Amino acid sequence: MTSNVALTTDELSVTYTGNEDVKALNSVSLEFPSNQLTAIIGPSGCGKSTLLKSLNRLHEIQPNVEIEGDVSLGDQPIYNTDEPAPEIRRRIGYVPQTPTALPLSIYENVAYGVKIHGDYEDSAELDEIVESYLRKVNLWDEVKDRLDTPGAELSTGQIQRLCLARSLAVEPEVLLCDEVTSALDPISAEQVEETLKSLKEEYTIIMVTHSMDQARRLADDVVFLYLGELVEANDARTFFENPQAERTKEFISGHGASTYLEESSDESDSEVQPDEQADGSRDRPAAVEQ
Amino acid sequence: MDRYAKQRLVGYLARGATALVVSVMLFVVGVTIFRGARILLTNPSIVVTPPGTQYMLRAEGGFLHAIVGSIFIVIPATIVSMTLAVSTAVYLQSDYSSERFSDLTNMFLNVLWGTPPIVYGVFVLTIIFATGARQSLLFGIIAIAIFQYPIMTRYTDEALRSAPDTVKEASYGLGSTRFETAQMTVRSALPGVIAGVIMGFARGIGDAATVLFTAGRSTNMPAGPMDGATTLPILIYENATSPNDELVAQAYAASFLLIVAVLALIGISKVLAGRFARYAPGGRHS
Repeated sequence: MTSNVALTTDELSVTYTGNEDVKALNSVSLEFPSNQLTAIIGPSGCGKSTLLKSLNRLHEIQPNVEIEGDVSLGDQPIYNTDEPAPEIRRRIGYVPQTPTALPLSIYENVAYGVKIHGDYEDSAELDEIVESYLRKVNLWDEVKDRLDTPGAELSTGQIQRLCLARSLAVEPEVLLCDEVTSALDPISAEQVEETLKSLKEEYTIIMVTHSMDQARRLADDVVFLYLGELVEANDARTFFENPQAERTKEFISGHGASTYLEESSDESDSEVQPDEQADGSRDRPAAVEQ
Repeated sequence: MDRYAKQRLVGYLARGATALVVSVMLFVVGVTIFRGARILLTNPSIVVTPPGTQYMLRAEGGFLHAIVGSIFIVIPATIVSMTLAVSTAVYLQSDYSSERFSDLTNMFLNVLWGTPPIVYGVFVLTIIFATGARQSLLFGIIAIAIFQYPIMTRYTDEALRSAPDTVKEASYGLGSTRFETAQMTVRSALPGVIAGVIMGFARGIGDAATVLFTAGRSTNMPAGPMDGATTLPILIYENATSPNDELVAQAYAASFLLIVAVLALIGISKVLAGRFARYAPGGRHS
């Protein structure tokens, strides 16, 4: 890892305390370089999404989660701090796996974050901000004539780009993307990938992906997790061409092969069923489902 | 019995039950329209005329007092109850409360929901006696609000729970506070929330037992919040059991008004829900 470090985890452990304790992440220490795209890969249930959500304290919105260790944004700790979690999350944005428009118009979806943080002078400036971020994700030309229609009426691919624009509009330093293309058709997925590619010059992007090919196409750095443990973190070239750990070699060569999947998890692979996130984090969706 | 005979039997039962329910509903609506709409058409002034001093004896004047009573009891009660219900339901979601707490609260709410309305009436009556107050519009509002609260809370809670988690995650991911996120989840669950509020409203406007004890069965126009009042369901009971034919006819007219009001409410909620459903995740696809 070369350039400056944006985000560091220091012996980060996450435990789901439900009926029985499940350690989803075990003492993971990592450095995420700034202005690069880091892909977090690993088999289902390995703690990818858990790691991602603990990077901006998003898991705090569900009960029964305990965390040890710390995460730092630059020099600033994000857990042992007086800064309220929303301020942290504003600096470390999050794009969910399922493309989700907020129940607002297209325009208001992008303007929402800017508004809650009060980052604009007048409506003209807000218009400019909305337009510039919709342009940034290559959505402006498709939606400029219907900015007042509900965001939910766009196609899923468009909604995912809307989500990116919405997240970028609050000007985060780091952007967390949770399998942002897994729910999309191939063409929409390619558009989102293109957008991510164009963004990684400006932003630090940390992306969870199930697709090894996607990691190869997009990532500057790769983090490989297995059963909550960090196996290997390296720059993408080294990771794919000259993997250090045995497990990485196995994973790269055997990825997609049934032997590996059987060994790694009895849950179905998310690539097959994009709507079903197989990580442990979703196995206990708090009180949301009865 | 072989499997196919069983299947046929269940089919007959289901169809029979549906036919029964639909015909009962048509019969009820039919009777109220036939007997109520007729008097409203021949003498529409009864809905805008306050009762005279001899109302219960000679059907002097109209029943504006009960219409006003219903409106001034149920609308404030619905506003109070809705505010409390939405706040409670938000608080019961996973980002505010533990699963155990919300399960427990929901259990209590179910008990409240199942409590016969007359029990609420007696409960508020106890308060009236204890404070030395009189039956009045205000206590009617309190009783109806308590009656509506569990209904609205349970509906809203279910609506919020069925809203996708990703709305919450997306909102928090932008740096929203819990309150801002709650506003988003309520918005995305708005069709269900509206349905719950309308359901509470409809139940409130139709309930007699709670109001009987708390607001009374006044036959005068209510003069203020501390004055006795009555509502349409109580008027229907009083009038329908009266020996005066004209009062009985007015009872049907009042029933007709109630049914129209409830149907109108359901219509409004459908239109509103349809409008907000476009914004909910899944949008027109759902």
